[in-house]
Amino acid sequence: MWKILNYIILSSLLCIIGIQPVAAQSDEKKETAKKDSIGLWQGILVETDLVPLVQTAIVNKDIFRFQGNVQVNLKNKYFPTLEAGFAGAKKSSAEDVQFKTYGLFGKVGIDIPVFKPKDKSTQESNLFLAGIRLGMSHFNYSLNNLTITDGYWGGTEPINFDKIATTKFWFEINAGIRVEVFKNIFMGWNIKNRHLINKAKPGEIAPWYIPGYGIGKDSDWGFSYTLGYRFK
Amino acid sequence: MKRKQQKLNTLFFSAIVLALFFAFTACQTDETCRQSKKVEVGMAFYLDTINATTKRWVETKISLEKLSVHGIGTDSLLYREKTVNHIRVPLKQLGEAQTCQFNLNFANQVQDTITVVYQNKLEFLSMECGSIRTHIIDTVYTSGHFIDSITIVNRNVNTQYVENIKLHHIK
Repeated sequence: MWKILNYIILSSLLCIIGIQPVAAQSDEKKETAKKDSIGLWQGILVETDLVPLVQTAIVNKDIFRFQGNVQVNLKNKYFPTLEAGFAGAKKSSAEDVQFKTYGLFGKVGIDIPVFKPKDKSTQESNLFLAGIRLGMSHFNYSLNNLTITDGYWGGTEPINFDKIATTKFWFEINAGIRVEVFKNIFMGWNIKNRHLINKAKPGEIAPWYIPGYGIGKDSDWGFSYTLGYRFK
Repeated sequence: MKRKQQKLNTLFFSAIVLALFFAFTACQTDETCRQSKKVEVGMAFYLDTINATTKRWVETKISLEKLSVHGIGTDSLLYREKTVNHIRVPLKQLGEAQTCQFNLNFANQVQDTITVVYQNKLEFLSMECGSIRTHIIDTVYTSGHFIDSITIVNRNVNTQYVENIKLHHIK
């Protein structure tokens, strides 16, 4: 059921991203004059993600993340984005396996408005944005207190892995809305579907948590609720 | 002003619905290990005979009656007087290179010692399941009282059962 839901939402997001440029092309001739009147630089939005604060306080106290985003508005049509932050996790499993990591992460990408802006629209209008991100994090992680117990021959052996260094890459497809709630102050949310590019091989000591990506599954869903200020 | 209020309402309402959805899915995290951690060597019994017509060796899988098996150095029996055509036995999991010996006691009171020389390999499963040691078989010996020869079919021993070793009795 969850896989089907994943598939439907992911396909919808891809369709939305794919359809938008086609729709824009069909009206290209009619809008030429109007486009020329909109300047390239439409401002820069600096925002932070509020979800990790709530997540750490209520849902999952094992993980933390601080993230800031900078998004440039070009012609109210293209929104190149740079995201960066610091995240980590300290987790003990039911068998008392202890995992610890923290590190910096960064993402680059672009958003585009899904619906064509109305004649007199500006960034103050509701914006339904969809986009992609490429993320990267280079970090160290430790896995301690792994024990191997030999049930037949007898004996127990503790195994510890300290400061394993790794670099992980992933891509995200995201969609959401953003509105100007007060002058130059924007709030918005988006959902994202993340896919790990360099997955762990079977048997490899894989990190339980990847800074900026989340719990190290091959793919996962995420949610952001952002608060930001626009500089024009 | 009214329009701005509407925008805010839409934003908060949609965000709350989504947040509830994601909070609900986050609660579905299962921390129980459901993966098999059992790593055993598969050994099957074969009777080797010469085909009178073709004059070639033919191997046939056979069942042995009242077979008892235990690891040498332990008192715990792995099989007690069972009728089986194959056995699955665990190797020592601690350390790197290892040797394990098994005593096979057949129905007619004939006994054999099977010696397995192998390398251990550490494999991480997950936070929930921890780690296991899989094995790579190097050499297998028999004392030769009933089991006359041995063939290694698959050197890799992991959580999936395969026939790793063929134990041949020649007639």
